[in-house]
Amino acid sequence: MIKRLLSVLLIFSVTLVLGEKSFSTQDPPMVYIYQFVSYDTTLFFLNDAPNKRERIAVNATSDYLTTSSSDILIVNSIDVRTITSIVTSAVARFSALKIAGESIQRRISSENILEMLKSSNYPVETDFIIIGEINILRGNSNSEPHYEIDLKILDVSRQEIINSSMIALSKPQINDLRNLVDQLVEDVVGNLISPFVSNIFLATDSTSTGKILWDTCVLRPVDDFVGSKKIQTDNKDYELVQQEPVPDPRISPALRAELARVNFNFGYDEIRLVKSVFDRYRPDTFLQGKYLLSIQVINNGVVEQFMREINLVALRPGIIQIHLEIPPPPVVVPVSGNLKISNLPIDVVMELLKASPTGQHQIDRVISTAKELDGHCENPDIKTEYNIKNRTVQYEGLYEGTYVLSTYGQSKVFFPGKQSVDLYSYTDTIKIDSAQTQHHKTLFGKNELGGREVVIYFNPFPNKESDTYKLFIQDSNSPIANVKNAGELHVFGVPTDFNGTFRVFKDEKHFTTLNIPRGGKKIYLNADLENETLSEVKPSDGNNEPEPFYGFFKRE
Amino acid sequence: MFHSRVSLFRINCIALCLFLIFNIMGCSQVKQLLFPPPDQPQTPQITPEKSPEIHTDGSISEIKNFIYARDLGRQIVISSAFQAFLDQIESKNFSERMILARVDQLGAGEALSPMTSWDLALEEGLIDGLISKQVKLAEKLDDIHIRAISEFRESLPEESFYLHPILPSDHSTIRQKYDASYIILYQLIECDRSTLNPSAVIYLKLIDLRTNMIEASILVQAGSNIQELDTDALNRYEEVRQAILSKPLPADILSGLNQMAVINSELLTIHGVYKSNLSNKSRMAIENGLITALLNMKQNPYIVEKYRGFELKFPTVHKNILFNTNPLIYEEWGEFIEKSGCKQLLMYRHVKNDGIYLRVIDAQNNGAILFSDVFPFGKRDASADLDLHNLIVREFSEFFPYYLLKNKSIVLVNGDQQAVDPAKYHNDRTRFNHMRIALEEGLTTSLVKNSPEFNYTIVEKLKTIYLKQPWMYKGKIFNLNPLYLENWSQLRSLGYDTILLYNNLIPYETLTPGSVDNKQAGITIRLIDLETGEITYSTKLSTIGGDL
Repeated sequence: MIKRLLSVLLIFSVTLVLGEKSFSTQDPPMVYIYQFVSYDTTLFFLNDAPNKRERIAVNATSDYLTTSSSDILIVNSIDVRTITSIVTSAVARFSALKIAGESIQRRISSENILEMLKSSNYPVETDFIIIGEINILRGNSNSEPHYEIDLKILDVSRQEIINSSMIALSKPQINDLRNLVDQLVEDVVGNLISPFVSNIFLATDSTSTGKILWDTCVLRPVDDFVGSKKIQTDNKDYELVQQEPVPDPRISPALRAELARVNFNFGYDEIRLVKSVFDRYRPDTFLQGKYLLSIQVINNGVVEQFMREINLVALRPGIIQIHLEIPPPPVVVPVSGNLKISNLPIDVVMELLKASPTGQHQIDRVISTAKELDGHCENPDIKTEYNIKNRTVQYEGLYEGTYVLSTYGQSKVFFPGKQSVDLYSYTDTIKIDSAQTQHHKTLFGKNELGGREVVIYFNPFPNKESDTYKLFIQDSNSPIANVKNAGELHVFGVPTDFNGTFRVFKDEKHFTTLNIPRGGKKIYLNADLENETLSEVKPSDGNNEPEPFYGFFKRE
Repeated sequence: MFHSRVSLFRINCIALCLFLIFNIMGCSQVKQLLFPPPDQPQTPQITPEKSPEIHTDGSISEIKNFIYARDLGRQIVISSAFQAFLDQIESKNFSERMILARVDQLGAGEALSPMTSWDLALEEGLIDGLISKQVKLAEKLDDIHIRAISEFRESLPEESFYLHPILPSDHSTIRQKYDASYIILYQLIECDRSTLNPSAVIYLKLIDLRTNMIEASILVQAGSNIQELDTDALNRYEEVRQAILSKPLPADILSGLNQMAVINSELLTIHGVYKSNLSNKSRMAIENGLITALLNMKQNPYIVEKYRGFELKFPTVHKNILFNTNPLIYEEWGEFIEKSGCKQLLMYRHVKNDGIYLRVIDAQNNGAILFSDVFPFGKRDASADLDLHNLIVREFSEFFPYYLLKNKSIVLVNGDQQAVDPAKYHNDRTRFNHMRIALEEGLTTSLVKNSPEFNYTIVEKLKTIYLKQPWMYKGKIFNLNPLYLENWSQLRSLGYDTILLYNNLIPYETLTPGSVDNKQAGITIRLIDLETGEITYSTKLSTIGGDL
């Protein structure tokens, strides 16, 4: 015998709404939760007539009743507000859903909730309606009376019940009521919103390794729907999110395809799934729409904010790439100094070289003639000034280091077929090791040269216009003269105590060594470059050991 | 008393022994015995044979040989021929001491032959004769050296032929230590060392060590067997001497000469080195004969004994520079003056059995050629060489408008057909022969002879002036001047006003020697004014054809 103590009358209103075709953060699904109904406050079940129902009036609000008959089982009804509240809480754990404030207001009629919670423009904006009723059923003689909670979800736009579920529990199970409701709502509502949500993943590359402060990751939708209108969120609306590493084997095919689609240019090192830190159903799902993610990163010790917006599309993994631009090397203000070179003689070449572990590289090459100082400094960081009037060269902004100043004569044609070069050779080193220091070097004048003249005849006369004969002193690698279209070279200023060699090169196979003995008189030498030289160029032998050439003028 | 008698006896015995020793060994040997000389210098070694010894067995042949050789030396000095040499000495009325030095062919870089007692005897005879003529001679010790052979033969650049053989630094030693102002160098040209017919041909040259001038020069022959000696050198000497004396240099030229060097030019401007087929002895004899003749022309000494400052251009240089540029290496005549101590330069080119060409250059006047001519020998083969020279002089003098050169400095430029095939010209340059030289010498002689009348100067080329290389003609219009120049002012800076550009049409080097064609001439000539670059005159000289 079924004793029906209470019946719940389902009342629902039909509201026609022309809403968006799809739900998003700009138009989230709006749920109106009707307060559950129960028409019987207390049910009596006769032990011997389980199917017989008799209705008696009891105070529905009292927790228990006492009767004179042992045959009568008195079952207290469940407060419908409690059930509604439980259901509301369960639905509220879906962040993708909006619960119409009006439904809460009606349940808590004593307070004006809508003064604080903006009107959801019920019933216009309502997409779903949840209605429920609570019944108490007597079961058979061997069973306890139990409660049945029916839950129905109505799709307003489609004007139909899209889901109907129930929970049955006995009085001893009443303590499990919330869990059962939660499970029911999760299943039902979860299925309801699944077509409109997706996951957000964070993909990081090597640029961010060790630089992301993961516990500072926050997320907010860019847009939201409040009351009856769309609004822009702001930083107050951030929600802390956590990230769950997704090992590579667990990356789903859909996610892998999406990673490939977005063509993560830098190659990902790690994938993390974004999850809400709040106690929500399916915390790793987010309603499609635009979201703004913010996270703190550390670059070279400085905490900076990394922000990225994502347009999340339902059922498609959303990927936020975290690629940190490699910060440029720290800008170290280099030590630089200035160098002034004075008294550049006429017809010399002055080279400024910077010494490095791999050798020397040229900073500038100045050809000094009577008419001009022709410099060739191509480093834009170095400011140069060539002053022909004062015959000075000024360098500003020479970086820290050791510089070599090398100056030598420039060969010139003084008669067709005849060239001359002043054996003006001066080397010096300059160390720039403190900022904005001014170095000053004054070159020797040619009139301090003295020395004698050495005339070198070339055999053969250069056979082609492009043929260049190079003259070196001792084992020096810098030619003191490059001779073209000339049968002879006059070298002036050879020190009278110089006892060494000149080397003349036509090419790799044609070269010769000329011995220069000590002496003060002009001498004539013949450089025979016609025959191929098979042996290495050796310094002169004999009693006079050649002297190494370091330049005739040299300062340490 | 007894002791005093014993002591006196002992002293007498010692004195007697010393007397005998001195008589037997001679003073010099005793001196050497008592005071052995210090070590002799290593180079060069003159190894005298042992002095003749008196043999107790009565053999005196070597002694005779020595004595006769000594007498020969004395005869040379007291001969009438030598008197001319002495006359030159006496004319200076000097009383300074002299050093007598045998040098033979040292001046040509040829080491002395080993000396014998005969040579010693000859020099003793010379000394005897000179002393008998009141000439003061200093006995030589051990500090007068001859120059190393390498200074003559292996030096780079090479030295010109025939240099003073005594180490120049020892001149001051001679003057200070020996108080001698003169040195007599003598060369034994030829000799017969036999005892019966000792004969010798000797060349002697007196040099004033203070001025480095050659004061006297003579070749003397003595002995009864002269005719049997090799007379080649003697003949070379004589033919040159007589050729020059038969046609003395103009007095106005001679008067201006005061420090003149004489050098053998041979074909240096072609080969860069000496390539004579004569012996050094004969080649030296030619120069000796020339000097003797030149000294005879003028009272005051004016010929410098050359010992330094006569370096030659490197042979390969001549390939690239203007043809027939002076073989001396210098760039400026001032440098020549400074290095050599000479102000004039006489260059001679000996043509075997034919004659000798002389050219006198004034180094103080930027190489102005003062004199140029050939001197044919009395007996000559009439080779094409001198004939071509004379032909050019004769023909050229007849038509050339010398007045166009008035007040100009002229340099001769051999152009040939470089514009047509410059590479061929450069290749042929090393194969040119003496006819090419003779041709330009003829032009020079003709021009120099007429220079006083029209007051112009023919300049000896000294500085290296380069020719265009074959690649320099590419891409340019035809018939360019062969000189590698950017503008005429560059040539003017050397002191030249006008170029006489001649093109020789006859490839003499390809002709058969002795062919009559060698005596033909075919040249074209252009005068180019370097101030304007204008061609002021053009002509041809041809014995082959045309309207000449």
